[in-house]
Amino acid sequence: MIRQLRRSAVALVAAGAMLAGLTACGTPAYTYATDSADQTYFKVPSSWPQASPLELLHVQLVLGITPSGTDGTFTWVRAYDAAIHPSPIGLLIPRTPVVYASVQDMKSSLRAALSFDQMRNLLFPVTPAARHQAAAAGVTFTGFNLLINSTITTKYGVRGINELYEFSVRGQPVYFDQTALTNSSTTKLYLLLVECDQKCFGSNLPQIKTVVQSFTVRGS
Amino acid sequence: MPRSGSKADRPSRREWRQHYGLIGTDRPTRKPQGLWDRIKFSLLFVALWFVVVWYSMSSDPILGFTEAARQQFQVQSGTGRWLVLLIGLEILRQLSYLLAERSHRYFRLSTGVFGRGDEISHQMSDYTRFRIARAVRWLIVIAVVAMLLGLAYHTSPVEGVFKAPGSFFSHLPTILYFMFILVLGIGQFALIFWFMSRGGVDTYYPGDVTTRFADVWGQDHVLARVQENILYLEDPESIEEHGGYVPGGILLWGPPGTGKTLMAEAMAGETGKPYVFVDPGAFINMFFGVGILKVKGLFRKLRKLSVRYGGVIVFFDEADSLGSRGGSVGGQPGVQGHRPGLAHGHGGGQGPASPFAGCHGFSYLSADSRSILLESDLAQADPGPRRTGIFRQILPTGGGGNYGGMGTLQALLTEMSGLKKPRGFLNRVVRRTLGMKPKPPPKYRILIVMATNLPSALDEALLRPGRIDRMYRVGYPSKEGRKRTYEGYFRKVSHEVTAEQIDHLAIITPYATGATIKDLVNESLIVALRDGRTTITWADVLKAKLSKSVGPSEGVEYIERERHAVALHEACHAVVSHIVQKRNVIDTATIQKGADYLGFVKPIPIEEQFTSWRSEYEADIMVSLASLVGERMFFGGDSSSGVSGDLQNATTISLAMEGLWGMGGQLGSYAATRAPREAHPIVDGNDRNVLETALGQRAEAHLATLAQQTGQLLTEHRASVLAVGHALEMHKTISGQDVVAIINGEEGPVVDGRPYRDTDFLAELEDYHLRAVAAHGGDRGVPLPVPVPRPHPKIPVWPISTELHTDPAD
Repeated sequence: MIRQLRRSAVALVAAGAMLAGLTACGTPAYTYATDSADQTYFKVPSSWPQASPLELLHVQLVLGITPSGTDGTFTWVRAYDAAIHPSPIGLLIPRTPVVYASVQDMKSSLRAALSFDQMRNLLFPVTPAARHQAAAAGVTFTGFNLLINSTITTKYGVRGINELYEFSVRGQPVYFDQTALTNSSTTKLYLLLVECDQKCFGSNLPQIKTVVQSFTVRGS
Repeated sequence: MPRSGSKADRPSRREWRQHYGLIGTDRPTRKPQGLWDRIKFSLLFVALWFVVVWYSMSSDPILGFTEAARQQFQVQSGTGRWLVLLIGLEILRQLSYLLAERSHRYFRLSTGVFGRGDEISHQMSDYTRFRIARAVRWLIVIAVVAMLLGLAYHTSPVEGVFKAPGSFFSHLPTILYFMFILVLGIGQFALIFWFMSRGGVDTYYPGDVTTRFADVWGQDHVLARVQENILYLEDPESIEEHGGYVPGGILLWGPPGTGKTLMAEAMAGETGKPYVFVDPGAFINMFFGVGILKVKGLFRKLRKLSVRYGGVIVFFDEADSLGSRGGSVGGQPGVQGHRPGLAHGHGGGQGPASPFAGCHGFSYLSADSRSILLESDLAQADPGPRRTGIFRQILPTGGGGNYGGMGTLQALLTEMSGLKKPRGFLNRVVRRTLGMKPKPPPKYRILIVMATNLPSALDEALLRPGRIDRMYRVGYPSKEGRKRTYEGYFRKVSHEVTAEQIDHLAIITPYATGATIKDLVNESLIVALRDGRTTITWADVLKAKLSKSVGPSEGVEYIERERHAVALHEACHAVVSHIVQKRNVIDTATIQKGADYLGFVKPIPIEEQFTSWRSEYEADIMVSLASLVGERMFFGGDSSSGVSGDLQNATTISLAMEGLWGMGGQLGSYAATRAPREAHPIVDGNDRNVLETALGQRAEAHLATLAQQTGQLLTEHRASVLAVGHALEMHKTISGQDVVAIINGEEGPVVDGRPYRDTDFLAELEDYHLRAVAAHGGDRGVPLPVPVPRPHPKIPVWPISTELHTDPAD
């Protein structure tokens, strides 16, 4: 009787402990950003919190993005920042990864002209022609280096580019991993940007890779 | 623990505690639960949790199972947190139960703390607890649905519930589209079934039918009862205010053509209620369920008509088509042909078909003799148990068919019994949901009339009181009825038939029905028209009757000597029948070969009687033996196998007279000495030793005595036998009146009997017979031309026996 009681108690305690353990160990490793309407998904490590609306504005300011959108209306914008940056100054040379993602409706007038090069030059002049044009206009990017440049096509008709480049900001190299995609009808422009200084990029490379690789667009 | 709804019956606290083992029992711990009871809620919650995980994975293509599971394990966030909490609570509950099962102390503690709720719940009535449980179940279902909706809309469960209608309306066109496709798919089947469930039912409103009770002749006794039913249907208060109810069902059964349908039509014509005629083929259906739909549709219509008109009559013609749940037993055509004989105690019917005899069957016997013989034959043919009641009177077989099978009969039975149940979705479901009692239905006054000539094929459940309250036999019309019917049909044609002849016609057609009478008059007209006349004469009627009685010839011609032998055989029957069967008249005598006979003599009782006497049975035996005795007499002791049936008949009757009816040398009845199945020594066809017993020997002696008397009779009337035989050879078929005319030497309707008084002609007949006997003996060179009677008769040469012969007309 006592043995049975003990066995039952042990079994129940074990079940409870297992539940508690699962609950405790079950903290998700990533935060999943989902835009169901546009079928756009990516994940960031759960230690990178989502940026507040003010911080999001700061990020857009630093990247030169007009919040209302210049090429079309943003339907979804999301930013994650591994550290708290109370002012845009800190975001110029981020020492922790900053992730920015957006989905925007393309203006109908721009749809026909949207090319891979335009996607590459979406935030900064990356292609030689763009950089030459920028230089002619008096805007120079020192220390520019294009590390990766590839195109992406998916079975859902989504196409675009992924590029990793660096340039100096105030004398310090900053890395940008930029993915720009559009859907088959060129009505949407999807953007994912991960930004980090050289040291941060080196130390967070696996996580950054995971974030970039998780960027999934099913299109609509 | 017995419980009921009333407060006084509820258990006291002490009783409850005793019942659940808290006091006064030896159980120290909680009763152990089964494995399923332990895990069922946990399984439910885990299953729901997996649904949640699956949904989150399906809504995010980059989310793996592990990550999704981890997300849904988050107690602080995630939709699955509620499920995790519930799983935790369930585990704690089971832990508590487990402890209570193991530890007496904890058991006492837990029942003290948690058992209070149970105690309160068990103080409630069963129905209150059931309602609370039902509400809880609904709440659980709503909670689960809300949770799933919350998942679907990425919001809280409460918001999900409120968002659902909006989402439903936004997707309404899609939903309607799919519903349309669904309805189109199902609808075509429904439409096919709907079309197939139409038809077979005709509705007549008051005034549509012009047939009246006055048009139904010869069924006055049934008509009176049917009129009674109509009276109750039209004035139901006359019986209902005295506590009774209107009889709801009538079965009219009887032979075909006796006016059952006419009677039902007359009911429709006389009453002021609608009349619904159900076609016999209405319930023969190709697909399962069509018959059921038809029955339901029919009764829906009947209820509507009943409420609207205060009553309705529905007539199922040939109700045997509804079948029986006992399955199809199949008919016995040979036996069915003789049902009138069993039902009435008369035999034969119009047709001469008989399986009992090689030459002429037993149609010359009295009604009771035929009944006994038929029963004897049936006992040999059907070893199954006897039926009782009307079924025994009619036919000892299952009969019928299963036309209305596939649930149709059951549906009919249900509808017939279900006229007092509350009906309608609003009445039953909505009112019940609102806590109101359904309204009782109005009084549907539906008179169900069924007609069949095979009542044994009907399901017994159909015939029980409450469904079919009254069963009336519509037998053959009485003589007066037949006379009225003949008069009615003769009135429609030009004729010279006198009232006396019509009366005689009614006598010699005892089993004539309205249909056969109409047919006979029409056939008489055809005979007249064939002769180039438009007026029917008595001779036309007799010719038509003969052609109807005998039917078409097989076209087989006897060889001359055999024709003469068969003619003498039948002539012996006819002459002896005319002399000894005083209550019969001969209807027909023929040597026209049929399917199972060589010829026959068919007498008909002049009047209906219900008892038979020794003298009549002896007369029957003499008529049976006349063929054997006659053949021996005319053919020098030789006889044919054609007498086998006659001998069987004679033996059977003789055995019954000796062993059952006290008409022989012994008073004791064999019926008292055997089990009911074998009560009848004649019926027991297996007892082949009966002839070896004293009974058999007495019967044999009796037969021998009667054979001697028959021989004496035939010797005295040898000339008559030769004369009738000659007429049969000449005409093949002659009427009873012609037989009498030949015997009496008078002019008959077709055959002139006066030449048979001519001595020379009689000598010719004797000579012809002697040559036939010589041919019979093997002399092939003997010519056998049938003598032709001279046109002018001379004086009679043989005396008519005034002692033994009495003309039925006298």
